[in-house]
Amino acid sequence: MNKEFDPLEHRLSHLRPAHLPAPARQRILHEMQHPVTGHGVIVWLLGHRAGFSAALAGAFSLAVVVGLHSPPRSTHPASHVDQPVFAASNALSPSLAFLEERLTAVSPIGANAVAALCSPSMLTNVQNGR
Amino acid sequence: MTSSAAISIWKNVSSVTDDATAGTMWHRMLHRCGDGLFLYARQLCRNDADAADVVQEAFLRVWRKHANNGVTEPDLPALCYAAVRYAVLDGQRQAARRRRREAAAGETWYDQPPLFEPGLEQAEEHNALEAAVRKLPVEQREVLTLKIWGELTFQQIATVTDESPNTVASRYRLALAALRLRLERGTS
Repeated sequence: MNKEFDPLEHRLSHLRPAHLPAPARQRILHEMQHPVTGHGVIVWLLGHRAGFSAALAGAFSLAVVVGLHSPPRSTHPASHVDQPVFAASNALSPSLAFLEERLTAVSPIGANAVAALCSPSMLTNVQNGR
Repeated sequence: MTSSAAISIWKNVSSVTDDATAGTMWHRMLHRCGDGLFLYARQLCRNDADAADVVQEAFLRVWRKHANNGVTEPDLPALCYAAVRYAVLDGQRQAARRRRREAAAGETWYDQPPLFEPGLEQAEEHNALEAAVRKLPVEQREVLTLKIWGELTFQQIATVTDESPNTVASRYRLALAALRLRLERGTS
């Protein structure tokens, strides 16, 4: 900055701004006594549809995979026990295809990995293998 | 509320009450820049009650957003000044009527409390400086406030005001030139 203004800048810098009103200052200090909570995460999820979709799809696919890997509760032969499971699996197929699309769209992992995770043939193999 | 009532309330407002040495960098920031943020908000709001609300909202907004993300202390002033500007503009967008009223009042200063703490020495010079600052155009006064009392760099001011650094520096020079001219006329 031009040196010719130095004296004026010096004079201006000696003016002290009027104080922020004490009530406003106290409200700020009072608010800062409470820690920042995790509510921001929820707001972020609800406010960002892509993030919310990714979280929802991830949780859903995880639940499906974990559920299929859990051991059968009954000692009956698998062919008898798995009838309802097969029916549920067939019913899930269209929604899995939809899920695959959503996962491919929003997930950072590769499309092939998503397809392998959601593949009905894989589910059938798992069920038949157990 | 009448202007005299507002002034009387203003005079009753106590001074700084926070303890800057006891807190975090956020407390230090409030202690160091609270008055400057308020001065800046007053440039934009023209209403001291609104300006105080804006500072509170802006400061807490920055605190909530950056309290846990590793922001460093040197970055805080520019963030807070930008938040003040955003809060004012946001409020103005939400209230068109209020915006027109404030824009109309932007070039004139009615019975407002002093912008600066009264100086015990050289009161005449103090008053002349304050009067000259008040007469500056809004955009020049904004840059002057951010540079002198906000202690921001031209680059930071450019970010806050969404202008180029050259424009900001130009406005600052124009403001100083206008101030000097007014002060010389006043003394001659």
